[in-house]
Amino acid sequence: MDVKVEVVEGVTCVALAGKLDASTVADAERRLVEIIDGGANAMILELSALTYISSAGLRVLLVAAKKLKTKRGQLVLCGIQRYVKEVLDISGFSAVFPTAPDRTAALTLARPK
Amino acid sequence: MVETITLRNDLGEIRRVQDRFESAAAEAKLPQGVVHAIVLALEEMLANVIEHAYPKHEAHTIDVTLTIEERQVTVEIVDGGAPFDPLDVPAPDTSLGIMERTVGGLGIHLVKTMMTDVRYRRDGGRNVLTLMKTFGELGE
Repeated sequence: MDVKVEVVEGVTCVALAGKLDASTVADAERRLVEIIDGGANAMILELSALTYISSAGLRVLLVAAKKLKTKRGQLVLCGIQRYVKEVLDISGFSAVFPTAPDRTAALTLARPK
Repeated sequence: MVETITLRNDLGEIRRVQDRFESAAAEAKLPQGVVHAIVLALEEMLANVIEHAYPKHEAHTIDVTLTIEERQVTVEIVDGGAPFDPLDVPAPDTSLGIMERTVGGLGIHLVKTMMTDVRYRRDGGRNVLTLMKTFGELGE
């Protein structure tokens, strides 16, 4: 699991690459919680290089989104690939997480109002 | 192709079974969607067994039999842990908002949705879970 962080127009963009599965979730969760506790409140998760997510990975998305919500921020997902989309759709996450095709569109949704 | 892999009850072992399946699937030229569904099902169901079937810090083994046929993949997971029928787990409410959502039951919900058939039986003190995915001209 590769995690890259960049701040664009006040929004923390985190790119996750590889697989978010039982063996990588602990590390991914620790990194995201660190970033949020470090002050981020609007966050974009860029998933264009994420090829796989399981329910363990969904849990991490939920933990991050809940933490951001309590700070009146939010988590926007973008660049979702085929198999990740399938899992997000079946779990109902596609309906509750704001999603965008790419980072530019995601920034419009994530920017603090 | 039929192959049985015996793994320890350790989450790190899941990747080994997935890798073995993926190389057999590549050889058999299975459709990508089928491969993804089985890889996910292996993680979800094995993680369940590893986390719930045995007391922590007790070493046990789990047998996974992978069968690849022309239009069907079958995965059989056998463990000697506490009786546990994953089909009894209530379906999660997938319509709840972010703050109300939990991921309890989500793994099994994913597997039930993505497999053609999921069966459980208790057999001679062991849990036997069979996952089946069929495919063909009408599928992928």
